[in-house]
Amino acid sequence: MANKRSKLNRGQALTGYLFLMPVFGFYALFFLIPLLFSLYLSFTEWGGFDLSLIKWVGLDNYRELFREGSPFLNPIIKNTFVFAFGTVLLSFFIALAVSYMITRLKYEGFWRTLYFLPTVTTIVAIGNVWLYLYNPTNGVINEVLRKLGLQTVRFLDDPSTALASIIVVGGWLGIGSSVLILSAGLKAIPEDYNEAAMLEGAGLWALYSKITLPLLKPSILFVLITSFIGGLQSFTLSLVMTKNGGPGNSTNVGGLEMYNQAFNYGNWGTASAMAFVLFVIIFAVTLLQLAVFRRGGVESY
Amino acid sequence: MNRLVARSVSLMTVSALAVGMAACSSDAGKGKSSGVVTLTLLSHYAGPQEEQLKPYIDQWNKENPNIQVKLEPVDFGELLKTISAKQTAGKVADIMHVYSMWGGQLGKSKVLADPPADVVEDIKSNYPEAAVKGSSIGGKVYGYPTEVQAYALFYNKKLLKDAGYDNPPRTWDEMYSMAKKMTKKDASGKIEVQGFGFNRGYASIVDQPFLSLLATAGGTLLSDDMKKAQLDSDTAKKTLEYTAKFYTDGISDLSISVGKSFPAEQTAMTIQAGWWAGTLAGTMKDLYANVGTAPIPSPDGQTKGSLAYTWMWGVNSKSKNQKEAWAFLNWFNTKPIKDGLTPEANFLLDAFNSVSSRKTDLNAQKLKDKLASDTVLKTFTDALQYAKPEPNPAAGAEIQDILYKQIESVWSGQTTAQQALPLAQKDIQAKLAAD
Repeated sequence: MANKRSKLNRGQALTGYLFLMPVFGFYALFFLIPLLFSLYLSFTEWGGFDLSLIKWVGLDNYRELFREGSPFLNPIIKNTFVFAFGTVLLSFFIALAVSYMITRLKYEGFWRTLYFLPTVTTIVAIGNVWLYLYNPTNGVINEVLRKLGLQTVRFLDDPSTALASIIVVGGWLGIGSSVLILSAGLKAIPEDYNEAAMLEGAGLWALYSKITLPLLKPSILFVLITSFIGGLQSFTLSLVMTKNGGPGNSTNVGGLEMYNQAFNYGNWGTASAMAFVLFVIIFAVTLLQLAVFRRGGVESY
Repeated sequence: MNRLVARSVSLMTVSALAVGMAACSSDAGKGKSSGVVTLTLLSHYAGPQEEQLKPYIDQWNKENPNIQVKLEPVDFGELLKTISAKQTAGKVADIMHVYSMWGGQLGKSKVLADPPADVVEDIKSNYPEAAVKGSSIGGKVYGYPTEVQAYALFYNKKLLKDAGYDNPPRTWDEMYSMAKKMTKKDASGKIEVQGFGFNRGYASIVDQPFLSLLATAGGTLLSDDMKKAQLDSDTAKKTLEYTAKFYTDGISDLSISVGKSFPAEQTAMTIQAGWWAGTLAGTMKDLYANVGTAPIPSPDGQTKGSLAYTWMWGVNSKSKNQKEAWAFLNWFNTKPIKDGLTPEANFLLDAFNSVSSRKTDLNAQKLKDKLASDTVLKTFTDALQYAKPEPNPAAGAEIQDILYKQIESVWSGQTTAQQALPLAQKDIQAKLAAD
């Protein structure tokens, strides 16, 4: 009897796997094979045109990335981290405040939709709208500054303000999705805790810092990790708003440099090596974030 | 049960393979159906230029019902990336318009097909040496030279006149002092009219005017054999410092787009290639009469210098229709169809107010008349005689970007010419060594 049941289970498992095969096939074709191919490419020199011209160069591409004076380490990776930290911090703190407030407002769905709208707008359109806003000669922001008697700010043309200007756009863009997740997290916190605390005489700040924030940790962790990973991978805003990461390399980030190395310079090996370095960095940062939050106790409430 | 499993496995395997085949299929063998060959032509002739190219393509398509040409225009900034992405994905274009600077990179990856012997012979005997060099990679011809362009000074006669100048500057010092005098600012210090400005936006539009100025001082980017970078010279330092002075002294503003401000008569002088005259004529309408051109000023006012770059029509080495592609290119570049001019010559004249470099076109009465009457065109045709050809090493695009980023760093005040040039020299030398 047991043998028959075991056979039946095996048969069911096999059928299950068979039904999963198209998904596995799709995954292998569009993720696993390209992943392994790019890992292989990172040890080669290839112009991206003819597979027969791939040349094995060992660790040369990685050595080139980490050589002294390499622009990849400074300023490109530095910019990537500044951009990721900047956008995450900006969007996270604003989203935290906004989500707390709108969960206490009437028409919550309307406010959430309003904040989420930029997220569903194409990033190219957003980049171009902000380009107009930042324009030093006829942009709205500079018009206002001039009306206030202040100097024109060359937001994207001045290396000292260019990256910060893009971070503001990236941060603004990220608010909507963070608000969505955080407000869902806030709604999932049972009211009983707050009521019990209020009976004990807890004030608004005590409620927020002692109950809401600790119980919101799983949502915060999710928002921080996904936003940070997104920030490290992002390059569209730099591409749209500066075209090439300029002035100089002041807004150049890892993703943009990879794209240029592969499609502009025909250095697919270097681009692949950059991708794997970035992968290792993202992986390490994610593990670190997970460890930090687990120590704080995010498992359940 | 076993039969069911076997059927399921077969069905799913076939489905997965079908998805895979669909995703990985190549366009290289496509383009032929019922005896009609369809050639795709990838170029940066987009927008108004596409409209001006189209009548000639339509004429070919009408006269050759079995070889149809389909235009695939993309912006200049996206052309190399598009070629690269399409080639890698197997979606190759049969005919490509290629900037000579990319020649080394494309040649190294064997993207361009060898032309037939008669095409090579025709090119060698009907185009000037600079044009043949521009369409060659490592001394081997790969296609028909098209836009052979040199750089010169564009100036606004009215703005110069208003400032008391009847003639354009001849020396660097004159250009600087005239630009300073012509620059106008509002009460807040915002520049309303800049006396001189460089174009910005991408590598070649910044590098080429800089290298043209460098040429007037006797400098070059690379040695003739393209093995050594030449940016460690005093000439390079002097040139970069000279260009940066326009920004540091408030004569030019990095935020001002010369592409918009010159036609709006808010920039008095700039350095650009000959094709820009056609764009200005279309944008400025009647105000185009105020546009003048002159050789680029030099340090001593005597030496003439400029940079010349070339484009070429080439055929993709992966194209299955190479014979038909060369037949079309042969017609487009060599057969007179109107006023004794080839389709290419007519197109260049219509779209850019530029002259074809093909001897038969140059001998046509229409071009002779045009050259005799159009002073702007003459400036650039003369500049081709003394301009240095732009080098096209295998890492050409990357080298161009290295220089561009260092120039922008200096112009934006991030660094100085003294600090930037050794970095550019070192990085460019490393790229040349890797080739």
